[in-house]
Amino acid sequence: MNNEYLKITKLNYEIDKKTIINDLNLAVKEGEFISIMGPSGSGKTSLLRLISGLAKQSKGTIKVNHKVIADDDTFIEPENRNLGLVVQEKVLFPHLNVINNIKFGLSHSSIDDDLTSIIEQFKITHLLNNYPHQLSGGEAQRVALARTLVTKPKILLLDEPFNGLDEALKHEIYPDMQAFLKEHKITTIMVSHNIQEVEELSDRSFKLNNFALKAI
Amino acid sequence: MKKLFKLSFWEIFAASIAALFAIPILLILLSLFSGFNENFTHIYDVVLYEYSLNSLYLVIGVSILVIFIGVITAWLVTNYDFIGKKIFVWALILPLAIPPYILAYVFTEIFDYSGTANNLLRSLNLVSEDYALPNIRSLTGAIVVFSFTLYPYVYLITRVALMSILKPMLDSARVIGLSKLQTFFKVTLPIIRPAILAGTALVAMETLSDFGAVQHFALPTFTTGIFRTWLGMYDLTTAMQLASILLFVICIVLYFERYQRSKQRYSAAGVKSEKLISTKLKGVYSYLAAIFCFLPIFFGFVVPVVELINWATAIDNTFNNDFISSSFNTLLLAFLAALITSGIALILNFNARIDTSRSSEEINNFISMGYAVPGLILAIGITQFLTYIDYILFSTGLIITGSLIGLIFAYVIKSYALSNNVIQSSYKQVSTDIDDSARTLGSNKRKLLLDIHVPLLKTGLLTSFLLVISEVVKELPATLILRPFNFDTLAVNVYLLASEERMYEAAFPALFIILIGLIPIYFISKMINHSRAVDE
Repeated sequence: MNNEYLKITKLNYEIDKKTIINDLNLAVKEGEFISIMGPSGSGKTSLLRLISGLAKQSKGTIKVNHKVIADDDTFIEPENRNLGLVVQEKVLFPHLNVINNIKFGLSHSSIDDDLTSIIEQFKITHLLNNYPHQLSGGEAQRVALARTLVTKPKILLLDEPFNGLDEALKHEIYPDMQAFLKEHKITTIMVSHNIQEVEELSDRSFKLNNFALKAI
Repeated sequence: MKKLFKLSFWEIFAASIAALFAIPILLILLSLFSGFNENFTHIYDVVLYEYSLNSLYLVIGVSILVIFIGVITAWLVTNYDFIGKKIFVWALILPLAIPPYILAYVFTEIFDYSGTANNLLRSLNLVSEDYALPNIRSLTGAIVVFSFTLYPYVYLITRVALMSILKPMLDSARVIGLSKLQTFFKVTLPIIRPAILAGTALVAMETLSDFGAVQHFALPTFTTGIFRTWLGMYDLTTAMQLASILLFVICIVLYFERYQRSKQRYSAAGVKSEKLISTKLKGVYSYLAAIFCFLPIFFGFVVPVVELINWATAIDNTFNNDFISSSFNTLLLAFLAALITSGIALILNFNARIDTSRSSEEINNFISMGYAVPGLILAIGITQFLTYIDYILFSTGLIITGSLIGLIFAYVIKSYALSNNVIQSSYKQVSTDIDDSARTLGSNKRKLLLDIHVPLLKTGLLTSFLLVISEVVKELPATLILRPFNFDTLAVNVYLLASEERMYEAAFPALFIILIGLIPIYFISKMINHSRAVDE
């Protein structure tokens, strides 16, 4: 499989001598959208944290585009991995308004066409001057998604990202998000409990249970 | 070795600070291995017993009195409604603003033969011209002074423990068949006992560490003995050996305090549930409760403040050059110490947050123990440490030893725990998911700290800054020893004037110290109000 963009080999992760992930292997193609389901505590979120560099594996290798980003000798810090993470919790910076939250990950401070288009795509133009505490759960989640996508990450990690959204809103966001991901060839790994969501968005899906990752 | 090179800047910084904080203490303890000279033998044979006995009596007397005042007042304001209760809840902590040495100076003047108390009693014909109240400059007097300034520690901690007792706990005890008295001894007391003991241990540490009050009362204790040995006999080694003994005692008390606190956390880990309802006291009982709560505030705060205002207004030229220069020096030192302490606390807490291992948290806990080291002992250790540095770096003499560096170093060690507590609890309000988002959006650790954490922690940082300032302004023994030549602070100014019996002149700077000491009171009373609002 030559076009595998993200490759995880024999990944092990222990916390206080308790095994969280054991001998996990996974390969994802560039621009592919995969989903991982599984019971609570099966290690789904930990896997996303290991890929993002927010946690360090005990053993194993993670490669992105054939380049090692984490193994026994190498560890690239999260800010240098060019990936995005969206979780279900409220993660907007409370001291910044929406526009400054969205611009946080950008190296430039001007509002360019890409930024404007994402803001319009996620229907948050009217919220730009609001602060996070003034947003509803759905609005906050759309801003969080926009903030991550505007940095054009090569890998997007989604941890139950649509939990707070109602069905109508989800179906408003899905097509735009999918189009954006395909257009920019963003490789995506989503953790979710919602089978409908998984079927609707994913190219492939897996179940993580008892340390084993099985295709659904 | 490979791992050592992988340490980040933040980890190296934390370890360096821990080492720096530990050096002065280690140097003091090392003195025990340098042999005991004839001065130590003389002190051991002649006065060590007296030092030990006085310190012991002092600690026992103060402990009994602070438990009596602190527990009963906490019990009254938590369980009963009576006249003035809402004011007493926060006013009972006001005496914390007054350092024991200032209360000692004021009480000495008030209870002097021609002082306010005796004059008042004579004018009321309650005592004759020849008679006067007993001399306050005694062991009993010192016990009274310490108790009236330190009981708020026991009051505050006991009150928190009492507030954690939930009504269903007591109801179920009563249903099982226990009487009200049995419920108190079998349920309430075991729950609040660790809090009372932890508060008393804090008071014991403060009492053992004090220098200004016992020195003014000419009471031979460990601290006055150490001071006399060093600056009277000019024997630093023996002073350090005496300091080591005191340090061991303090360590035992500190261990006891931490142990009791851990038990307190366990007992207070109840879920939010139905709180106790205050019983309304009527008639004479309401007045009696109010009088009991008023007396410690009266003697611990009202009397000294009114008397100091009285003295300060009785003389001209209160805003003299000495006051202006010592105020400037005090505020300069306090600002620098607050800036450095809060900065270190911020960086170490940041490191503990981003580092998944427990070592960063342990380093932080270790450094926080500096508050327990008496200022006098710290001053000796720092002097020794800086003398070594001067010896290594400069051949011309004591450059660093005589500078402000040692003084600020002592303040930072003493007040780190205060700053750490505030910043640690502020950090707990900020979700770590926010950190993860910032990191994956491209923030390195520096940007995370400066662009995300600092703005979110600004209230905590300001609180820490103000609390350190109030602590530094009060600190006497370390300032007295480590200050550069001719560099007086407000505390030193008050000490020097009081030791020359010039209390009227000392009154104004003393009032200024108390005013700044009110800063933490404001924050504590705000916390009390907040918890009351949550309860209601």
